[in-house]
Parts: sequence; structure tokens; C-alpha cells
Amino acid sequence: MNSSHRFSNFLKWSFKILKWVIVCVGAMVLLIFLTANPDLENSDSDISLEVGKFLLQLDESSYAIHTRFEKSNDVVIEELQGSVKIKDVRAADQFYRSLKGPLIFIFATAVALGFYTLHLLHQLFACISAGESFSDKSIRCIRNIGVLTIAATLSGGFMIGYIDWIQSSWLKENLILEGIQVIGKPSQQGTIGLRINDTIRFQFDILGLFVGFMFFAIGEAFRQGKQIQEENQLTI
Amino acid sequence: MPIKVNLDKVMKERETSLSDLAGRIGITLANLSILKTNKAKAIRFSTLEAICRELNCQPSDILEFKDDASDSRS
Repeated sequence: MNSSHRFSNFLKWSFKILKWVIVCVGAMVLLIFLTANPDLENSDSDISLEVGKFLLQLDESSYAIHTRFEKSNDVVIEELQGSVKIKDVRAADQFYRSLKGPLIFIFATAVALGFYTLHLLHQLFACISAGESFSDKSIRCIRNIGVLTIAATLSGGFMIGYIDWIQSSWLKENLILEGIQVIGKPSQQGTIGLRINDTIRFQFDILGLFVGFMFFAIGEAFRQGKQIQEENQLTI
Repeated sequence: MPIKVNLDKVMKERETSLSDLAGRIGITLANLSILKTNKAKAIRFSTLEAICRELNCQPSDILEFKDDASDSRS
């Protein structure tokens, strides 16, 4: 058995193990999703988010602390004090409960897609280690992986954008700023507000599309390889 | 494919069997059968040369061009 054969055998078994690992992990997380039932309404703790954290965490997403000062742009914000609170905790509770169903559906779909992709990779490496690289089965596997990658990238981008939009729209109506103090350098008079982007933004991963099209190209190369192999086999 | 192999016709004229010819030209019976039944996609000059030598014939006796499209039109 040569080294490339051994390597494809190793990959075949790795993907076989990985696909069952993903099923187990997916099932466990799904179980946690289904059984977890956060009771925001009866929770003692306040649902408040530190402004400072907002500035750090949400700088690149659809949330941003919006500041406006009277004079120049060279004001350095050293510290933001205060909190962002949700107006009605009961409404928040209901809102997050309503999101639970779609989130479970998205997660289950992602796990199923991941499992199927690993299954296809396992089949592909089984074909290669059996010496049937240029077979209809391997070509079908490669093309399906390409289709799945592109579909997952597009639908994932849409889903994330959509959930983000639902959340942003809700937060825009239900968040209040409390006791905000801006400690800036040099000291300035100004205003501060929370800017929430509530338009749908599709977050397409260009790398995912690229990988998908690469799989298509490899599938086409395998199809041509199969033609050459057939021609070679039928040359007397 | 418009190229037709008339190996069976020539073999019948020379009263030679498939296995006998395969042994004489040094290719397997399975491959010669593929050639005879028109399933082959290509033929090597060396194979054609060996067949012509053993059957004492010309390549044109074995290979024939038959345009299927013009046949179906007429």
C-alpha cells in the first residue's frame, strides 16, 4: 500500500468518525436548546448591558455607540459610564421565546448539512482509496459538496442577516440609555446616543462561494478525467 | 460511431476464430471482443498492423466509414 493510498484511507476514516461526532454534538446542543427555558420575567437580576461593552463588542456589527461633540473630531473617549436597559423585561422574555423556534430550525439544518457534507467526503475518500477516483459516484460527491457549500453560504448569510434584523428592530424600540456619562479628553460638551442599524444586511461569505465554485471546477476536472480514462480503457 | 469494424466479416472469410486470432496477435480475448463488437473508442496502429499481418488484409478491409447522419437523412 503506497503513501497516497494510506493517506486517503486515513482521510476516509477521519471523515467517518467526524460525521458521527458532529451528529452527537449536534444532538446534545439541540437537546440543550430544547430543554433550556430561560425565565427572564421572574429573574431577579436586571437585564442591563454595559455601555463600555457595547463599544467593544458591537463596533463591527449593526450596533454602535453614536457620539456627537460640538467642536472637533479629536476627542478621545476614555470611559463611558452608564447602562443600556431593556424597557420591558416581559416583552423581552416573549421576544426571545418567539426566536427559539427559528433558531432551533436553523441550527438543526446546519447540523444536517454538516453531517451530509462529511458523509459525502467520506464516500469520496472511500472511492479514492478503492482506486475509483474517476467514477460517477466521486464526481457526484464533489459536485454535491460544491452545491451544498454555495447553498449553505447563501442561506447562512441570509439567515444571519434576517435574525440580526429582527433583533435590531426589536432592540431599537425597546432599549433605553440610563445615566450615561462620557469622560473625554479634552473635556467637551456633547451628546451621546445608541445607533442601531435596523436594515437587513446579507452577510455573504465570499470565501464560502469561492470554495463552492472550486469544488465545481474539481468536479468538472474529474468528469474530464473519467472521459480520458474510459477512452484509454477502450483503446485496443 | 461512424467508424465500423468489420473484423467478424474478415475472420469469417479467413475461417479464423476469435481466441485463435487473439493468441496470434498477442492481445486478450476480452479486448479483441470489444474491438469486434464495435465498443472500442480507438485502435493502436500496432494492433491494426498485427491484425492485418495475421489476417493478410488491408486496414480498409477491417475499418469502414459509415455516416449515420446521412443514412438517416436519406
